[in-house]
Amino acid sequence: MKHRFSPAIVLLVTAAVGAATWQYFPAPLPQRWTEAELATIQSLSLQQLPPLPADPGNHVADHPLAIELGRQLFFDTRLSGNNTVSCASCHQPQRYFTDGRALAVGLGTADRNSMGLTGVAYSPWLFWDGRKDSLWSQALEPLENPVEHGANRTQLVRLIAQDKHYREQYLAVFDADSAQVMLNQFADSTRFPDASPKGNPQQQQAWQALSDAHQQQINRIFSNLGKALAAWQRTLPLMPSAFDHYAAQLQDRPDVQQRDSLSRDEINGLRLFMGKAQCINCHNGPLFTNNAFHNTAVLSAPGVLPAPGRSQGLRLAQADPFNCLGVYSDADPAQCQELRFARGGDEMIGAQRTGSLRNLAYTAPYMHAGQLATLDAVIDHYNRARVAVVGHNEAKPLALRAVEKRQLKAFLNSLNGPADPSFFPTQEH
Amino acid sequence: MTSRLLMLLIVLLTSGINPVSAQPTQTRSDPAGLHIVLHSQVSPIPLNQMHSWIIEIQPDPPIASNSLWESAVIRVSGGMPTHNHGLATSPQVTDYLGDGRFLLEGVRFHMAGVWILQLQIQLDNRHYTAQVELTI
Repeated sequence: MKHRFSPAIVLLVTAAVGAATWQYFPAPLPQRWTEAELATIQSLSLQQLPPLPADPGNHVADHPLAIELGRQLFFDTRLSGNNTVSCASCHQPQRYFTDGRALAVGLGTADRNSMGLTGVAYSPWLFWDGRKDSLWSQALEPLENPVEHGANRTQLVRLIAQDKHYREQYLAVFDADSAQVMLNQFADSTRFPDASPKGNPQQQQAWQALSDAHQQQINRIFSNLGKALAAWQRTLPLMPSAFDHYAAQLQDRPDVQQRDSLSRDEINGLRLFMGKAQCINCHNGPLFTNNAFHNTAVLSAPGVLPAPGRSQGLRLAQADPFNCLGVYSDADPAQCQELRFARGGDEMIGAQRTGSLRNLAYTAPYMHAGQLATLDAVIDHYNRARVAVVGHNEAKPLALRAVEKRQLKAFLNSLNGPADPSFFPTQEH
Repeated sequence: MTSRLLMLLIVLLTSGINPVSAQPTQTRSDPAGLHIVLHSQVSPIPLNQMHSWIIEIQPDPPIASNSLWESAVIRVSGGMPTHNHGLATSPQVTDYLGDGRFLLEGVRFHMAGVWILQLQIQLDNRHYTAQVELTI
């Protein structure tokens, strides 16, 4: 008995097989990279990371005693309103200085995802919306944020004044004669109760009751805590990934594309990263970030209005008394180029800072409010490139096939450092 | 010492994405009358690094009056047409250096690709525009 298939069924099956092949069959790799591709690959290698940029606003940025003081402060829960929160609560060394949460949790729940800290000293702007123009100034804000550390300025200054070890270290780093006199007076909690211009109404009232001179002295010590914290964060090491080993192997034999440090899928993913997927437009350089601000139509967290992003962040940075041009900065105004020539305006509406793609395996969830839980979700987000709710989406749809999304993910996972980051300094030293 | 110099040479030769040598970029104004030459002060033109340029303006006929030069107003804007966004920064002309040369500070390119720089020039009570295309 003969079986007969209708032409429609044959056509349907052929189309289904064709579509599946198109989605899941990998394209063959060319034998070798072009000269331009080789140059781009090397530009992404950790070997190309330049020396740490100077921080002219922080004269103790590379001071060994400031680094050590900063390390101790980073892990100290006394820098909080209830002695339970330290910087390391949200920036955990074992998670590459993130916390595994969508939104940071301190005394309350913040509205932003905790950013990793490795390589942070290379960014001219801090926070997702760039509302701080230096690492030392950034370090100050969470200390007084009521849902993060919830501390206040005089409380922090009192801790330095009263704790023998901190006091000795502080005076060794910031050794002005006046520092000792200042610390002596601020140790008196009756005369200088909890006070902060950003605190609760009672603390704000207490702040307003202080003389201008006392406010400035407290601000000076407060800003110096930020400078010590920044000095330590500048020392956090960046560890090479499988991709970096691959780039090194290519330097020896640029004519051979296949190397044992990356799989075929990862190499294909690298090709997509530099080409069709367009990731390299913003994720460029050895840290896989241009540290600039882009609107890529990331939806706000459920029930939350879309974030204004950099358009607001820059206004805040310009008005910040702790910015590069402020009296607590050690920089000459001519050195504050980032602040002087920063660009804001409507184009920056909804724009957030480009994150580094190194160590993504340890830093999920992703985006400014942790909206995307997995790398698959992130790749899908850029593949679709939907219309932005506010501003305009700079990204365009990518039309990545299923196999290409898998390869791109494989490449992103080749950017991870060691799974056990025991090389990071910790509380015990 | 030799190895350090060698390392420095390797870093300089390999840094950035497809480094573009900073050859002066030339253009003419609209309306005609100005020949404009732009020189990056860092070569190759860097990615993700704040740097300065010199804008050299050569009028035809030449202008001899220093006060006319010093009262010139130059504004610079631009962006990446293919990505539909402007410059990453707001560069500004901050100094007149003499001989029709101006210092442009605050330039940073944060993506590789084709960039447009647009100049609006007010010189001797005349308004000019000019544009150059750069591939970073």
